Amino acid sequence: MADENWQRVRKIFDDARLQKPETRQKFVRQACGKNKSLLADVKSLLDSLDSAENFMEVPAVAEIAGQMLTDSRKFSKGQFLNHYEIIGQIGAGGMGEIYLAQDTKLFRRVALKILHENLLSDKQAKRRLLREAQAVALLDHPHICAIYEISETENCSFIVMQYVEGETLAEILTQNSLTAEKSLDLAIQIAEALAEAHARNLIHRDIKPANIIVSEKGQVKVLDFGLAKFIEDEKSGETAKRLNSSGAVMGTVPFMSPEQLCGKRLDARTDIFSFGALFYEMLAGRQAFARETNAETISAILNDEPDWSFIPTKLKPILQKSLTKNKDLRYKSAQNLAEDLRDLQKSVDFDEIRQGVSTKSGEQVAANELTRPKSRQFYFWQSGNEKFRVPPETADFDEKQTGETKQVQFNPLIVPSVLIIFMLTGVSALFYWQFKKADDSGNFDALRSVRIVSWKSSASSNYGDYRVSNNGKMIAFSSTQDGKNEGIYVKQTADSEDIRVTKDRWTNHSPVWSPDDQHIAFVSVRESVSGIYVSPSLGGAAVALKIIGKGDLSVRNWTADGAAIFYEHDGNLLRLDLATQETVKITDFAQSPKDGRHFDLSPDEKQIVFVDERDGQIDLWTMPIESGVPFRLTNNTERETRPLWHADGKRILYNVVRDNDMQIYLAFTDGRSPQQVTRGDGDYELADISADGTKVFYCFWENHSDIGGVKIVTGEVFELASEIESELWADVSPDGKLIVFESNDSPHLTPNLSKSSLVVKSLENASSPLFRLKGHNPRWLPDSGHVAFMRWHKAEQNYQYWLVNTASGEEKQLTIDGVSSPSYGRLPINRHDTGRNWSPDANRFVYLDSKKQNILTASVESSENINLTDINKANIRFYPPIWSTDGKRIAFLSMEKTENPKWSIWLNEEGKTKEIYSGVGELRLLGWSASGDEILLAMTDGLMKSSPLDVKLLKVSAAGESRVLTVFKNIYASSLTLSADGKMLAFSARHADKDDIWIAAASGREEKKITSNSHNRIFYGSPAWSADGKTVFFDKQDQINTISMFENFK
Amino acid sequence: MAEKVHWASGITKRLRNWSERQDTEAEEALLELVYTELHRQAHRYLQRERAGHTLQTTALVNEAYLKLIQQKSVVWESRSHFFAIAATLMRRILVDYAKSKHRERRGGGMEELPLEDALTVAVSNDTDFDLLALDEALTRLAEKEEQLAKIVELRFFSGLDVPETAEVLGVSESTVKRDWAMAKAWLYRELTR
Repeated sequence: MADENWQRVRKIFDDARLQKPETRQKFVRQACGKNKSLLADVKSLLDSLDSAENFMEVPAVAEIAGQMLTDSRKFSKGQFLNHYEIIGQIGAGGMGEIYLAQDTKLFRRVALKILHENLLSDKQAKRRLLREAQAVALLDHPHICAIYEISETENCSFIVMQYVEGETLAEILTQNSLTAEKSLDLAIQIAEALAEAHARNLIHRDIKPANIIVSEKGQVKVLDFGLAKFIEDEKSGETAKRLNSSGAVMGTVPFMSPEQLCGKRLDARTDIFSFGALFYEMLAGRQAFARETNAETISAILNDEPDWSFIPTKLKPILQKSLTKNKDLRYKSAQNLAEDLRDLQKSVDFDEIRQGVSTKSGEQVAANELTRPKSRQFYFWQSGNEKFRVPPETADFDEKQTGETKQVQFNPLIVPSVLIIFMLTGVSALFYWQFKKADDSGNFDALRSVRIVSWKSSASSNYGDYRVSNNGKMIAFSSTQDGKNEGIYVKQTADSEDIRVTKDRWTNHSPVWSPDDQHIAFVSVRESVSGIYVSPSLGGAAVALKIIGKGDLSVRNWTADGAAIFYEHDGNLLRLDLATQETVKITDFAQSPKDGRHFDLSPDEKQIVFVDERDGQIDLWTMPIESGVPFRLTNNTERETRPLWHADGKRILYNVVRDNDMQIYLAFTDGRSPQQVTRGDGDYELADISADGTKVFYCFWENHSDIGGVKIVTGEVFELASEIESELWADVSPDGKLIVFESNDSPHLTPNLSKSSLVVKSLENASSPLFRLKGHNPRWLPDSGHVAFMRWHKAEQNYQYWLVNTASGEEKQLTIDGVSSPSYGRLPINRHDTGRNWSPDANRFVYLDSKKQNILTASVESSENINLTDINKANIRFYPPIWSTDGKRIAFLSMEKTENPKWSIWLNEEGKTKEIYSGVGELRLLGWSASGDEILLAMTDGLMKSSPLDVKLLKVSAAGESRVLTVFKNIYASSLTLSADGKMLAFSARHADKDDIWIAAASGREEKKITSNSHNRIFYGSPAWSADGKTVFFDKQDQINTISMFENFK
Repeated sequence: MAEKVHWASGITKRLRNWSERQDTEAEEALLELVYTELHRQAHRYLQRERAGHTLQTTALVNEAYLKLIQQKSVVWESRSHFFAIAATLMRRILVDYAKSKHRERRGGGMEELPLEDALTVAVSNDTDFDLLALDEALTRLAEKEEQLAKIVELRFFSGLDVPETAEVLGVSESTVKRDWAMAKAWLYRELTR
C-alpha cells in the first residue's frame, strides 16, 4: 500500500514540477482530488523543492576533502616533521599553530610555527620567507627569540624557533598589573632587543604584548622579528584590508604607529612607537589609544594624546618621545631609547614613583576595566604552573578496579594535557609530594622541579655516574651508547648533543669534575688494569694520574683546592695527592659490600659518608676522617645507596629502592629520623647537589610503549593504542574480532609488568576498551572467548595462571603452585614465550611451573596436573611449551647447564615424552608448521640476547630431522612470531640503525620490510598477527632519560 | 610510475574479487585504496585551487577514480559498475569521517554538547545540515526507492554530473533529473521537519 501511495506521490510531483508555476497549484489540486493527505504530501514536497534550490548541489566530497586536509595538518604527539618530534600544541596565532617539539638531531626543545598554507601560495613567497628568516637568524641576542631554521615537509612549511618557557606579556598584563620598577626592567630588555635588530636594519613591525615572552626569571625574549614584514608583503601591503579583517593577522591596531596605519614607508621608528604603546600599557595598566572600535582607535593614534595622568612623572618624557606622532621627533634609534631607560633606572627612586601615581590609583582600576580588551586574539607559551602528575598508587592485584575508573583511564579525550606535559615537556612545574601522615617534620611540598635535559635512549644503552659541573652548566656521565664501549660523556645543560669525552676503546666510568670544571677525572680500565685518568672536560687526550691495577675502582671526589682526588678501591676510600702521586688509605675495611661503599666527602672535607652492610642490613654510616670511628646514620632494613653530602654539612641525601622504585631520602647528622623526599612512581636517581646546596639534581628514565599496526598490502601504519600509559604485547583473538594487550602506567616497564592491566578491545571499534583487569602476559585461547594471563600473587611472590571469559568477565585461577613468568628483553620489550599452550578445544593447557620448573598440563575444570618432565636431572631447565594445532603433541625445550649448554627439543605424544633433537645453539619455540608435522624454532649460536642478532630459522620434524631454513640477520630473536595459520613469520629487525617490522614466509623466504621507522631511538617489537594474516600489530617503544633538578631545595 | 601501476592493479584485482565473489575483505581493501587516492587527489586539487585554478567539483573524484582504473586490463564495461561501487564507498568514507568528527566534538560520547557543535556540512549554500542526518534520511529513501538513493550517492557523495550519473545507471539524463528533483525535495523535507 505504501508503495502504491509513493508511486502516486511521485507521479503527481513529477508532473507538477513540469507545470508552469502559475498553473502548478491548480494542477496538484486536481490530480489529488479529495485525497487530502496526498495533497499535503505533494505540496510539502514541492515547497521543499523550491527551498532546496542549492541543496546538495555542491558535492559533499568537495566540502569534506577540504576539512580532511585541514585535519591532517593538525599534528599530534609523536608525529615527526622531518627530525622534529611533536610534543604538543602550545599556541595558535594568525600565522599558524605553534607546537613544542623535540629536535631529535640536536636533542633540544624547539618551538615550531607551522605556517598557514595560504601564506605561502607559491615558491617566491617561500623564498622571501627564507630570506627574511636568514636575516633574523643572524640576530644573536639574549632578548631575541632565535630562529633556527625554516623547514618544510611535503605538506607544510614551518619555522623552527628557540623554545622559551614563560608567559607572554599579554598574559601577564591580563592577570595582574606590573610595578613601575618591573615595567622598566622589562622595557629595557625589549629596547635592547630592538636596538640589536635595528643595528642590523631589521624592523619588527609588530611589537605588542603577545610577541614578548617573559621567563620566570624575568628575562625577556622578543618573538617574530621580521615575520610581520614578510606577511605584509604577502598580503600586498594593503593596510585597509588588514584593518577590516577581524582578528587582524598582523599589526595589532592599538600598537601600530601612525605611519604604519597610513601605509607609509616604515623604518625603525615604527618599532619605537609600538614600544611606547606597549610600555604605556605596562605602566598604566590600560592601553594608550584603545577605543571601542578599530576606527576610533586609529583616529586616536593619529590625533589624540594618551592620558598622561596614569604615567609616573619621571617616566613621562621617555614615553612622550616614543609616542609622538611625528616620527622625526621620536627616538632615532632604540639604542638611544635603551640608554635613556637605563639612566632612568639608575637614578630613580621607585618608592617616589609609586607615590607619584597614588592619587590616581582608584581611577586606574576603573579605567583598566573599561579599556582592557576582554580577550586576546593570540596567545603563546602557557606558563608552567601545571602540577606534576603524582601517579596513583598501584592497587594490589586482588583489588578490583571499578567501572568508573576504567572509563576515565581510557578515554583519550580526558587524559589531561597536564599529564602529557609531565611526560614530555621540560616545562618548569611545581612538584606536589604525597606524604605519609607520619612524615610531618619536613616540608618538600613545593619542591620545584625543572627538567634540564632529556633525551631518548639509543640502542642498547646504559647511563650512570651523573655529575654536575661546579658551575652547574654541564653534566658528566658514563654511558654505553650505540654499541660503543662505556665512555665518559658531557652534556651541556642547555639542551645539546652529548660530547663524548673519551674517544678511546677502553671502558671509562665514574667521572668527577675538577674544581674549575676544566678537567674530568675518571676510571679507565685498560687491558684489565684500572687506573685514574684525567682529560680536558670537552674532550682531549686522557692522561694517567695513577695506575691502580685490579679490583673495583671509582673516583669519588676532587677536593675544592684541586690538590687531591678521593677514590674508592675494593670498598675502601683512598686519597691521591695529585702533586706527589702518593696515596693515603682513609678507611681500612677488610671486606666490601657487593656494590661498593659509595663514599662521599663532606663539604668541609673532614668527614665521609658511605654505605655499609652490617648485622645483615645495609645502612648509611658517617665517619670523621681523623678519628676513623664510624657512626651509624640510618638503621633499617631498606637498602640505602649513593649518599651525597649536602652543602650545609648537616644533611645527607641518598637513594632507597622501594617497591621497585628508587626514591630520594634525606638523613640528618643530628640524629633525627630520615625523611622521604620523593614519592612518585619511577626511579629518582640522585645525581648531584649544587655547590650552594639549593639545587638537587636527579635523573629519571621512563619507558613508553604504544601499539601500532601495519597493513601489509598497503603499508599503512595506524595507531591502535597510544594512551599516556604504556601499551604492549598485543594478541588477536583467533576469530579476528578482538585484541588483548597489556597496559602499564609505570614509567619503567621492566621490573613492573607485574602491575600491568590487561585491556581487551574490539578491532572493529578500537576507540574504547571492552574491559580491563589486573594481569600480565595475555593470550587468547583457541576458542576466542577467553584470555589466559598471569597475575602476580604478592604474598607468595609468584605468578599464577588465570583465565577470563571475555564475554562475561568471569575470572578463574587455574594454577595453585605458580607458573614461571616469561622472560623478556629490554627496549623493545619482546616476550620470550610464544603462547600456543592451549589444546585446540581450549580445555587443557600446558605450562612451566614456577617451583619445580617442570612442564605440566592441567585442565580448566580440575587443578590436577600431569607432569611431562619427570626427568631426574638436577641441572636441567625447561622452557615454556607449545601445543600442536591438532592437539596431539606438545613440544618443549630444555637446557642442560653445563659448560657448553645443551639445548634439546622434547615431544610429548600419546602420553610419552621423548627427546627428538639436541644441539648447542640456544632455541626458542615458534610454533608448529602449517602441516602440523614440524616445529619451527629460532636458534642462535651463542646466548639469545635481547639485542639484535643473527637468528637461524630451524625446522625440526617429529622424527627429529632438523634443517636450518634461513638466517635472519640482525633481528630480535624474541620478536619472531608465527601467524595463526603457521605460514608467515613477523619479526622486528634492526637495519641501518633503525628498528622495523619485517615479515617472511615460514620457509624463511621472501623477507620483506613492512614498516619504515624514521627514528633510530624508537624501538619496534612484539609483532602480533591479525587473524586473517593481513595486518601485523607491533609495539613502538622508547626510553626517555631526563636530568632534572629541584631548584629550591632548602 | 611503478607505484601507480601497483595501486591501480591492486584496485582492479580487488574490484574483481568483490564483484565476482562478494568478497567483503576486498571491499575493505578497496575502501582503503580509494580513500588514500582520494586524499592524495584532494590535496593536489586544493593546491591548484589556491593557485587560482577554477573549481571543478567533479574533477577531483573523477581524477581519483580514473587514476585508479586507467589501464589496459580494465574492461570498460565495468566502468559503470565501478562508479556505482565507488559512490557507495565514497558515501561511507564521508559519513565515517563525519562520524569521527562528531565523536571528537562530543567528547567521545561522554557528554552531550549543544547541537550547533555537531558537525554540519554545507549541503546547500544557505543552510547547513548534519551529514549524519542526511545519511540516515538517505537510508530511509533507499527503502522507498533505491534508485533515488543511488543517484544521491553518485551526485552528492561522489560528485558526478547528470550525464555521468545517467551513464553509470544506464538510464536517460531526463530520468536522472527527474529522480534527482524528487530525492532532493524528499530529503530536504526530511531534514527540515
